[in-house]
Amino acid sequence: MPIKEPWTLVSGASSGIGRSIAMKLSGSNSLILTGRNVDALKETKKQCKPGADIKIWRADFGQPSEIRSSLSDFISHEDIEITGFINSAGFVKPEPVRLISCESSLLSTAINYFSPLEIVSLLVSKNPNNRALQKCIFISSIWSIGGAPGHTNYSGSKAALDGAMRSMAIELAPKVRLNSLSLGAINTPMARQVLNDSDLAEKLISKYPLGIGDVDDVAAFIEFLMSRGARWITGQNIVLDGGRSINYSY
Amino acid sequence: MEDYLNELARLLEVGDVKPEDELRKFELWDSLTVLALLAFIDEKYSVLVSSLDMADVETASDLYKLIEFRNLS
Repeated sequence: MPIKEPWTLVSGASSGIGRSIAMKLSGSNSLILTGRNVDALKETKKQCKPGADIKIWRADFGQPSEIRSSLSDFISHEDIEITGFINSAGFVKPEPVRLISCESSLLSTAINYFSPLEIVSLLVSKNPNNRALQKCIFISSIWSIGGAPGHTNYSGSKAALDGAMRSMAIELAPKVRLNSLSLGAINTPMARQVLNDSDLAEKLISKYPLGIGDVDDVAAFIEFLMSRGARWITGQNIVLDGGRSINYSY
Repeated sequence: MEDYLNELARLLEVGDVKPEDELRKFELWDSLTVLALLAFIDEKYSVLVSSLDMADVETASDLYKLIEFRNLS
């Protein structure tokens, strides 16, 4: 059987960190961009390196029960093997504990936990991906380690995936390496509510010894983590936060 | 405006909120309620309202006028 070209799936690729990761990796990887908004994914494709191999798979992570069959059909139809998965899709909506509902908890968990897990499960299965997955990175948050008011479901669902990542890293070794990145504040559309607010933004930035991060800071580290140079790193939750989490200043 | 007032009532855990109601007088009006409300406004109306903007807001309709103004401009 001829060896197939390796493909890397990037979720949340329609904006922010996911888009930046896709742009960075497009020079050396064939990519599948996924998200809900096809127009935005096409825009990401345009911003990738010229001549890069890019495919688009539309998926709604809010509907995890549809993920497996949809991705399975896509892989079969395109006749490809996916060897890398970078999960940058994420959902955050501030909500006081007193207003948490099954509905809001299920939506956070669907997007932040169930859907990426469904993807990993399919990619390590025989059909149709031929157990081809080798490298997986989950974008997580420092709110999976610490906390903030209004972020119960975000913290919980991100921490759930970080925990699952460790068991998968053991079960799937040595063939698959899985790691998660707990990011501090990054200048993205997701952080716009806070960063647009000069009062809040000033308070936030003062807690970051190296300032808040840029999408390129994350993309550069991911490029390393996907490379052979990182072949001995698995099962780790790595913090990229400009020193925020070790800052105990007055 | 109805969706906005309904969401305010849900966040404040009251039966209903009228346009002329003063927001600070509600028992559950606090910084976290404001954060949740601003997230709703961003999602529903694609309008960013900051904590500085909120300093000038007294009634439910003050905030709605700000949303309408930002939404049009």
